Amino acid sequence: MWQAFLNIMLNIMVGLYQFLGGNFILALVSFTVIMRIIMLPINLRQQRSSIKMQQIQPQVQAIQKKYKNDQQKMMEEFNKIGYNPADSLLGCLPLLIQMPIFFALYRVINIMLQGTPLALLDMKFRLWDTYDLASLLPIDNTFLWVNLAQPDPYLILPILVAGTMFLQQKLMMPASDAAKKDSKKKGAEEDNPAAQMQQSMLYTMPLMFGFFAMSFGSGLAIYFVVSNVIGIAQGYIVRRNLAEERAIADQKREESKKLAKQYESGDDEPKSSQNGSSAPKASSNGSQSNKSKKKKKKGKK
Amino acid sequence: MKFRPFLNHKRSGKIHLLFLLTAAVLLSACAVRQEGSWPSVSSKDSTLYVAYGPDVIALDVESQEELWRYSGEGAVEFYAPPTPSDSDDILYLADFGRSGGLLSGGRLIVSLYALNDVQSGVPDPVWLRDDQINGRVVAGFANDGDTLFTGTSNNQIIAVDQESGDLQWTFDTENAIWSAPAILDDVIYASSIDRNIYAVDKNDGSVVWTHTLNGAGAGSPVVSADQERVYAGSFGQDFSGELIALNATDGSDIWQAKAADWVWAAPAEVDGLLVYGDIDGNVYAVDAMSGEQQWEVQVNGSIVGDIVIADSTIIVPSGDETTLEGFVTAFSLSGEQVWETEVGSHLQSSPAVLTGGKVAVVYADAENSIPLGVEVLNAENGSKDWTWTLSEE
Repeated sequence: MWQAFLNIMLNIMVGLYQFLGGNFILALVSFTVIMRIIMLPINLRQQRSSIKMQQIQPQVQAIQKKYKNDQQKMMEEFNKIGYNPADSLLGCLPLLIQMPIFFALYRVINIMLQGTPLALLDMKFRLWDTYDLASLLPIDNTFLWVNLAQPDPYLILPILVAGTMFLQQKLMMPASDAAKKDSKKKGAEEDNPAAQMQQSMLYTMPLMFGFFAMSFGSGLAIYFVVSNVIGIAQGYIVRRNLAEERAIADQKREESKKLAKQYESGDDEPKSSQNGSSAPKASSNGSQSNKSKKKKKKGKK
Repeated sequence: MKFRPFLNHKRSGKIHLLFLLTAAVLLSACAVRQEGSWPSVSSKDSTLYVAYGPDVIALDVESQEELWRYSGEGAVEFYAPPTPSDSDDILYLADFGRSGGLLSGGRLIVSLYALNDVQSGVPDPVWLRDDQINGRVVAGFANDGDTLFTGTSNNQIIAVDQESGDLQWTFDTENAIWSAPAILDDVIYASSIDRNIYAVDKNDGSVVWTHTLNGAGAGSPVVSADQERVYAGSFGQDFSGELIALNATDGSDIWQAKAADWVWAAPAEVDGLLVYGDIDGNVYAVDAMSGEQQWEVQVNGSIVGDIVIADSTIIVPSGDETTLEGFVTAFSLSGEQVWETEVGSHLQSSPAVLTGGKVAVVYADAENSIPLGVEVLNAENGSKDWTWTLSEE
């Protein structure tokens, strides 16, 4: 399975290399763009989910505070507002999906650029018969000052990897006005696991990838940089396009805060807000909230 | 699907941390993964010298014993076959390099070695130089008695003084050199992946002539028995390989012979017949003077290791990269198959011809967990005289 996936990746890269006139960097950039396009729906979904999570954070925090010694009750209350702690892991999903691509690309770059007899033989027998590999040799493994199969001797690429990844992560974080205001409050993050995770990812992921770019071939570092730059552009566009959704989110967040106050004042059953809308739910599917309502009614009987 | 109540917010934080750690471990494993090498073997009298992974191992074929093991400097691998001196009890080696460390920016440290007492006892380095070259060495040395010549993966032909290990000169090509040069009088000949064959003055590294091939050249050039021509295989073009005969003096084209696929292995000349093979397993024999084809046969698997001659028998090593089966096939000069012997795994490097009509082959495949193995065959009938496998110790 893994070998088949690796072979497909290698053939795509060699095909792009051949199509783009034997320019490995162009092939790598094109490959990255294709990967980004494939990942776009997942990224968009993750960003939307992030905004929805943001809507109900005040309630989540209030529940956590109130039921910190009663996990069972806390989960029941989470269910009522349609919040699932596991959803906070959705932020990792695009990265998890990209992991096999990273590993395969690492191997592909090594096979194509390592410049050893074993790697060339490996490539020869992995390629589809349609490729005349001999006509593509030697594969140019240099770009500007770097050998693409070796780490950057001046450490410029690892710094770029870390810097662009940080910016991308920063743009992926929900940053509505209301959320920013709330996050400035002392201790707000301590009560918010999602924010904690995002904060830790904001710093650990760029550091980790920057660190590994010091030992990866520069080709993979360039993939990360290009991918991150596209991610930054994508994040910027998505933020603009989702501005309307974010405004609604801010409004709902304010409503959520009001409901949170009811939790804090001791009401187990917070009432709907004055405009008649129900409490904001994390789920985009309305059936979840209806079920919760029915359960509540049964309980009262 | 919901994970409640198992996944509360504290646990999800831990899982997130676990994910990061797992990713770090996996990426680390990826980053430090060795690319691997194939084993190689050379011989002098009845001793075999096997280089693979971080070790060089000496085996005595007559007593069928392991004589010694020598480990390279640091976490190195050996690709190149060890080169025994013709006149002294010295073995010359070059390694595939080791990383200069995380903060070195990928700097490679490649070492050159001269080991003495290789036949009489435990070897000691006469000299060990890690300050002379910075390109990985895949090819063995060519040796004229005073100077060692080889190619590097960072596109250079190098000359090293046998006495001191000092670098004498370097000659820059456009791409890697994976095979040992050939020597004729004052000129050395080297094939490069950059599609050229270079003739270079062995005294000062100045270019004598350059001939552009139709494809990359991975195997060693061979000087003809009459010292008039230089033969070189290439990957060719349009899905076919080729073998070319050049005038040794000026590099002019004498004849070309086609092959169905890449010609990687160096050819062998015997009694006016030039035998070469391609990566598709085809073996061709052409007239050494005219290039006219005499016969064509096929063996199992691909031919990457050099074809050798033992007791007027043509010995062809081959291996199937998919099934990992390895074969040694012998042909008479008229192209009739004399014998075929299956060996422990697919063969990628050249056999070593021993005195007494014996041939040794070596195999290993780290990726498929095949340990290092050596098989010594009788060239007359293909029977196995000795099989040696690397022990766990």
